[in-house]
Amino acid sequence: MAMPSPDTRHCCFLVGSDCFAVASAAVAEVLRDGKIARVPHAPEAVIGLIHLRGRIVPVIDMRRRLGLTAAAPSAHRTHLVIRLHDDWYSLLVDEMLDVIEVAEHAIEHPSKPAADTTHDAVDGVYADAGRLVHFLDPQRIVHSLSRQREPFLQRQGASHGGI
Amino acid sequence: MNDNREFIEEFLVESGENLDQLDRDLIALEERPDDPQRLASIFRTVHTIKGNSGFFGFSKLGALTHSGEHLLGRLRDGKIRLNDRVTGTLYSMVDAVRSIIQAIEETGVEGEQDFRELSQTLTAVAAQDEDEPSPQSTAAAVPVLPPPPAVPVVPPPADPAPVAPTPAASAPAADSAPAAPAIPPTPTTIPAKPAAQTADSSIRVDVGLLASILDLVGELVLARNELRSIESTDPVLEGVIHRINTVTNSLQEAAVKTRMQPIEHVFNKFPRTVRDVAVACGREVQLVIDGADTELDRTLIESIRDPLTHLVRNAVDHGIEPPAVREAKGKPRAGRLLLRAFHESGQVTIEVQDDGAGIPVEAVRAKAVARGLIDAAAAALLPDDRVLQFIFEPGFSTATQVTSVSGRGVGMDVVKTNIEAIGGTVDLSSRPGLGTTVRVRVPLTLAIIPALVVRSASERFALPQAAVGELISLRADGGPRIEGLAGADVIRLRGRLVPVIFLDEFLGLRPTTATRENGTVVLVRIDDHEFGLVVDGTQTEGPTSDPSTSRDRHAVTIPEAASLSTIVVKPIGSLLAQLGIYSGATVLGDGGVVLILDLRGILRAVELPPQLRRGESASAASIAATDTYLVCRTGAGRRIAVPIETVVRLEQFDGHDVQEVGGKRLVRRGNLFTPVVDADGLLGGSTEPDSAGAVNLVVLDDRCGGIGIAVRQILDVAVADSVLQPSLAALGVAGTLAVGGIATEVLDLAALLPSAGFHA
Repeated sequence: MAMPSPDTRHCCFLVGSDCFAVASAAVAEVLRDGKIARVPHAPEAVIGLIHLRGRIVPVIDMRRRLGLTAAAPSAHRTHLVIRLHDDWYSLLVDEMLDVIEVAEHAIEHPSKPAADTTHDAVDGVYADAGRLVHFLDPQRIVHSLSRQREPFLQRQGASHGGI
Repeated sequence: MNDNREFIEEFLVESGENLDQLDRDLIALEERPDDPQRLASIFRTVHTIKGNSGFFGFSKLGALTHSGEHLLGRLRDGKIRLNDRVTGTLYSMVDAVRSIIQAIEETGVEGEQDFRELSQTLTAVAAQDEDEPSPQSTAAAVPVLPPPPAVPVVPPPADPAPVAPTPAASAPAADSAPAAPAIPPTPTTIPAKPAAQTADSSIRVDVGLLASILDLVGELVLARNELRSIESTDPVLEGVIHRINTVTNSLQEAAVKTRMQPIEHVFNKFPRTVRDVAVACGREVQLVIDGADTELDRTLIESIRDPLTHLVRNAVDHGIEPPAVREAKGKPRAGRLLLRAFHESGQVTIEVQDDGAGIPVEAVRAKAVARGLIDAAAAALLPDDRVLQFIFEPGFSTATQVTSVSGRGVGMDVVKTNIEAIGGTVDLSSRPGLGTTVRVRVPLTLAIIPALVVRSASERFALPQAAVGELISLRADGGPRIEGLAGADVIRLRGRLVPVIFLDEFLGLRPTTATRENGTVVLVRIDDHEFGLVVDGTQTEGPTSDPSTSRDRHAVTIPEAASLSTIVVKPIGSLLAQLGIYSGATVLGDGGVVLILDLRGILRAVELPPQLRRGESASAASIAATDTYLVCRTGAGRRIAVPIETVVRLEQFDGHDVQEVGGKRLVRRGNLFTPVVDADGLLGGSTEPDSAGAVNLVVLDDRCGGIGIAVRQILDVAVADSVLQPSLAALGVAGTLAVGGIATEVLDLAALLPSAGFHA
C-alpha cells in the first residue's frame, strides 16, 4: 500500500514511546487539545467529537487505537486532523514531532499487514536518525474501528430482552 | 468549444425542462385535442429545442425536431387531426429528443443512435392524413418541404434567457408553413407569457453555491446563539444583539427557502408515467394533481422521486382495474388517480389515492401466515387495516402469491425504507372495491431543525422537536412517577401506560438505575410508537420563554421553562453514523458540541418488546384508546390481558407483606390496604399463594373494587391487534384477542370480581 502521491513528506508524532507518521497530504489541520464532547457507545478509541470551523470531527485517541493505556492529559497533546474521502478525523496524539521527507523506496513495507491493533494500521517503517518511524495508513486506522460496534447492540439486546 | 460549454449546459438544463413541459402538454392535448393554446405551446417548445440545436450544431437533434415541428405545424394549421398515431409518434419524438439530450449531457456528443426512421415517420404522419378530406387540402404538393431553416431564428447565445425570445420568433416561422393557417386568429393570439415571466424573475444558481451559503448561515446562527448568551447590561450592545438576532432569523428563513422547491418537480413527471403505464397495461386513468406548489427541501425532492414513482406505477398497474372490469362493477371506465400534496404540522404529506380494486386483505393475511410473520390464530383476529401493513414487510409481495392474485405492493418495503431514511413515514389504507390510499409524510427540511436540548448524566443531547410530544416532570412528592416492574418501566399518562427508557442507562452513562424520583420524561412519538425518554432535565437556552405561553395545554407539568433551540444539523461521519443512534451533531451557543439523538434508531436498539415494535407499521388512526391492554403472565403461565384504563398502578412487594384478614388477603402500602386476588384463582385455576418472593400486583380502579390482581410477571403494555372474540370465552375470560401477534385472554372483570368475593 504505497502512497500514490509523489508527495514524500510525512508528519511525525509521538504515541507512547514510539514515533509514527502519516502522509502530509492527508493532514488537514493541527490543533491544540481542547474540549471534546463524549459519544456514548462509540468504539472505544473514538473518545468524542470536536468542532472545527463548522465541521464536526470525531476524535480518535491514538493511544487507545494502538492498544496502549490511556495517558493523563498533557500540554503536548495535539489533534492531527486528517481527511479521508468526505470524512474528517482527528487523531489525538501525545506530541507532534517534525515533518520528514522520505523517498518511497526508502520505506520498508511489511510483507502482509499485521492483525493486532498495535500494528494493523502500520504500512511501512523507516529508520531515521536513530529512531524508527512507523508509517500509518489513515484508511486502516479508521477501518478497524468501524467493525467495533456489535458489542453495543448485543448489550442493549441483553439488558432489555426477556420481556 | 470551451466558451460554448456554459451555453450548452444551459441548453441541456433548459431542454430537460422543456421536455417535461412537452410531456404535460401532450397529455393535455390528448384530452382536449382542439386546444389551440396547448398546441401552440408544444410547437414553441419544439421550436426552441430545434433552434438551439441548430446553433450548437447538433444536427440529429435539429433534423428530428425539424420533422416534429413540421408535423406540429400541420396539426396546428388544422391540416391533420390528432389521433393515436399522431400522439404516439410525437411521444416517440419526445423520448428520442430526451435520449439525445442525455447523450449530450453524458458524452458531449449526440451519440450513435439513428433517428432517421423516426424523422421519416414524423414526416409520413404529417403527410399521410392529407389524403383524408380536410377543409383545405389544396396544399398537397408542398407538404414535405418544411419551413425555413432553423438557424436564422436562433436566439442570441449570450442571452441568459433564450426561452423568452424564441416563442416570439416562432410565430413568423410558423406562418411560413406550407399553407395558409386554417384557423388564422388562434395561433397568433398566443403570447409567450409564462415563459417570459419566469425568465425575467429568476436566475440559475449553482446548487453548490446555495449549499455553501446555507452552511455560512448555519455558522452565523451559531455565532448569534453565542452572542445571545452573553450577559450584558449595556443597552447599546443589547440593541445590536437584538438587531443581529432579527436579521439572522430572517436570513436563515430566506436561506432555507432557497433550498425549497415546489413538489411540482416530481409531480410533473407523473402525467407521462401514468399515461405510459396506463397504455402498457390497458388502463384508462384520469390523473388529478393537487397541491403541486407545496414546497420542500430540494434534497428531499430527489429522495421522494423514486418512491413516489413506484407508488404511482403501482396504483395504475395493480390498483386501477381494466376498463371492462370497471364498467362491470358500475364504475366509470377511467380510473381516478389523485396525487395530493399539502403541508401539515411542519411536514409535507403526499397522498397517492386510486379508486381501484383495493388490496385483497385475505390474500395478504394468508401470505403473512404462510411466511410465518404471524400465527394463524392471531392472524384471524387481526383487523384488516393491520393486516395490510404486512405489505411493508421486506420481500413480502415479490413472490407470486399476492402479486398474481391482485398484486399490490411490489417493493413496498423499499418505498418504506427510502422514506424512513429521510425521516418520513408511509402508511396505507385500502377498501375493497373502492381503492387504496398511500400516505407519505416527509419533513420539510433536514438542514436546520427545531430541537429540545436535554441533560442526562451531565452530558447534553438534542432531540428533534418533531418527535417530542410533551414534557412530564417527575417528583418525589406525588404526581407522575415511573412505575416499573421487571424491565417494563412505564409511566401513567392520562389513563395510558407508556413505556420509558432511561437515557443515561441506555447510553451507558450511569451503570444502574437507582430509584428515579427526579428528572423529566420527554414523551417521544415515532411513527405510531410512544415512549418516554427519562432525562435529568432540559436545557434552557437563550432568552427564557414565558412558561405560561410555552406550557403545553396537555402536559402535566413543565419542569423548567424549556425552550426549543434552532439547531443546524451537521453530519458526524460514517464511523459514528453507523451506530444508528445519532442522526448528527450540532454546536450550541456556548460552543459545545451536542449529539442529536436518532429516536427511531434508539427505539430499534432498546429492543422494546416485539409486541410494541410490531405496531411500527400500524396506522395510529386504527387504534382506539380502549384497545390498549396490560399483558401479564399468571403464576400458572397463562397469558392474560387487562384493559389499561382500569389499571391504577403497578406494585411490587414481598410475599410476606400479604396479610390474611377475614379470609381475604390484603397488602398494606402506607395507610392503604389493597385486597389481593390471585389471577389464577380468578380464572378458576388452583391458587398457590406464594408467600415468599416478589409478587407483582396490578391494582385496578374503584370500578373494579380497587383490588390488586397478583400475577407472576408484567409482560407488556400493548395495543390489541384484533377485536375481542367473545366466542372463545372461558370461565373468567371475557374473550380472546391478539396482542403482539399472540392470542391472549382478556379478564372478564365485571363477572369475576363478585364471584371472588368483591363488589365490582
